[in-house]
Amino acid sequence: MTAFILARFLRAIAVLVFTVTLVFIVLRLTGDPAQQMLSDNAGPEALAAFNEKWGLDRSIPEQYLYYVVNALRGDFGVSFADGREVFTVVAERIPKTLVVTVSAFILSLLIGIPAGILAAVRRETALDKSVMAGAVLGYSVPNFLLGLVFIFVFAVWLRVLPSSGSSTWNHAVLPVATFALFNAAAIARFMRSTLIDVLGQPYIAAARADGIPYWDVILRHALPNAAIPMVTTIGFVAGGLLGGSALIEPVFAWPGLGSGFVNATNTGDLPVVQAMIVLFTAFMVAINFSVDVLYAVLNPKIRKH
Amino acid sequence: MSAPLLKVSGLTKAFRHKTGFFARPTSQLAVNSIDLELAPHERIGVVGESGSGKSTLGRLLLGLTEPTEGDVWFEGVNHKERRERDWKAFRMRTALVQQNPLSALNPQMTVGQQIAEGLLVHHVCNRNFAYERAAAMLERVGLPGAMMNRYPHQMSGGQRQRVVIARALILDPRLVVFDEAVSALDVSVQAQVVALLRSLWQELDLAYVFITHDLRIVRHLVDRIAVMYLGRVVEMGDIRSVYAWPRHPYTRALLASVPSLDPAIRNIEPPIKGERDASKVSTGCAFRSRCPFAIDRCAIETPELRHVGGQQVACHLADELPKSIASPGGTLSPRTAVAQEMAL
Repeated sequence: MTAFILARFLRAIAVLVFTVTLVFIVLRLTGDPAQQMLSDNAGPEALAAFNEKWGLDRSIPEQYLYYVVNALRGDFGVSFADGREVFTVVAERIPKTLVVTVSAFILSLLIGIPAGILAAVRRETALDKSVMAGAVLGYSVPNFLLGLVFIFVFAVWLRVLPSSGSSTWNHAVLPVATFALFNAAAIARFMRSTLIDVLGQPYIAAARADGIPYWDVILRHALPNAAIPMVTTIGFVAGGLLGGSALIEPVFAWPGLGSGFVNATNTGDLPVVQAMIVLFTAFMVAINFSVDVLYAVLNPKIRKH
Repeated sequence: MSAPLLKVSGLTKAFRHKTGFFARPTSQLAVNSIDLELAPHERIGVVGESGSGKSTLGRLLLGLTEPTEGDVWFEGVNHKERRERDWKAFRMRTALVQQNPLSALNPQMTVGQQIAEGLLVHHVCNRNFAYERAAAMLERVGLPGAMMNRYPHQMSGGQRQRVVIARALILDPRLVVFDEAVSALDVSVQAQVVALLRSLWQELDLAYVFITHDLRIVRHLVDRIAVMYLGRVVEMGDIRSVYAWPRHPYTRALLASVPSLDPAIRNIEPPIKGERDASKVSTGCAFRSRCPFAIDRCAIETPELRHVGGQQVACHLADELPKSIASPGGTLSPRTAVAQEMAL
């Protein structure tokens, strides 16, 4: 078990290093930050001065080496846009994003898992069909569109919630709801199909034939086995939280990492984009690593090998 | 015969399927008006090809599937009259052993937890005593008690099937349905499990239904046999009598297909032809399209089970057909009999 976790940990580090390197190179090969940052009629001298100032005139391996050495010391450079430390620019947005994503994530589990279980247990009934119809709808509508619909209904039409900003808790309701419903739909659908699959296994028939009460069969035999594939899906959902924030936050003008990332990309603020991608990657890698560890904890085939 | 432990009358199960969204659902009879009786401590084999309805029959007997028509009585009580509490009592006195022991065991629970669970959910005894009894049962089926803490994936196929048998027997049931219980095992392991089942049956007050497609195995394990074809019992009787002189053309073909080690025994049975096709059978004998002896009457009149010789046969020609000599059970030379025992 320890060997398994250690191997997964080393792999996670390798993935992180590889992704950061790849992103670093790709960002420098696509688009010229000098042209994006400076005005269109900036002369060649101005562009050259900009490139020299930020070290963009050096070779990519050289830039990369500088970047890695500085990043390991916690120095991610300075924002092209306002000259502030990138670390500060990114760090001040993290709590805003965490508020939305973590509450949306918890909410989506609280809705999605019971809905999926009920649909599977009451399979082919009206309950199942309505849960699944809702899930298909929630899953097929793009989440930014769902956000716009929510703004229209609750902010413009009913006028009960603010449409944008982050000054009060009320401002968080619509972004969280948008995020949670989309994810809950995915979780419910997968929970249902996983549980139905498990309920068809011979050991469930055996448990029923042994006279084990129905809900005991579900709770003690079926769900622990359904939990293993569910961890993967929930991992995907968790991994998609930051990416989703780039879609949802701009809709509600929520000043988190997602909006920050979109702004930085539009203005060509290379150090900020770079740092955020490192953060997103680290988050994704951490989620995948946790999924692997959870696998080992839940699955005796890995735990007791 | 004493009062039957299990009695089945007119048992029928139809499965409906739809071939397309707008298609009218068609129904197929997986089990078709079966009558059966099983005495306490009796052993019956149910044989047939896959799709003959034998597994569905097993599930109907244990009340795991609702019949479309017909009744099942266990110890004099009709399944239809059982309420929740009666079902729980019924589950204590019956058990199911399935084909693939790896999927029949919960991969997340230790062997000991799974064997002891029956004792715990039926409140037979406390946890400590339940685990003691589970360990004793594990030893009874030939595994060390130390295997209690293993997970199913840490055992071999034969060990797992012993665990499944231990789990089935922990509540000392009166009836066990073995559904292809040894079919997934290697031949050498099969022989050990067969020997185990024989000795367990001798010690316990246990009746069982042994569902299989394996005609070699079943003769060592049962007193009576029922041969199923497309949901119907086509031949039923004492195992020795059926093997000595199979009367139904389908039974004859099945037994002739069992390879013999004795070169003196040759398969002279005319081969059956074609495929099973349930959809075309509405009247008459379901086997007639493949039967080498079929006559016009077979297409018109469905043959009922009737006594012919020592057994019951559902064939119009049962008492007219010549005795087949290809049956491995009856006309074995002593040499072959020994060889077959050894092969098991």
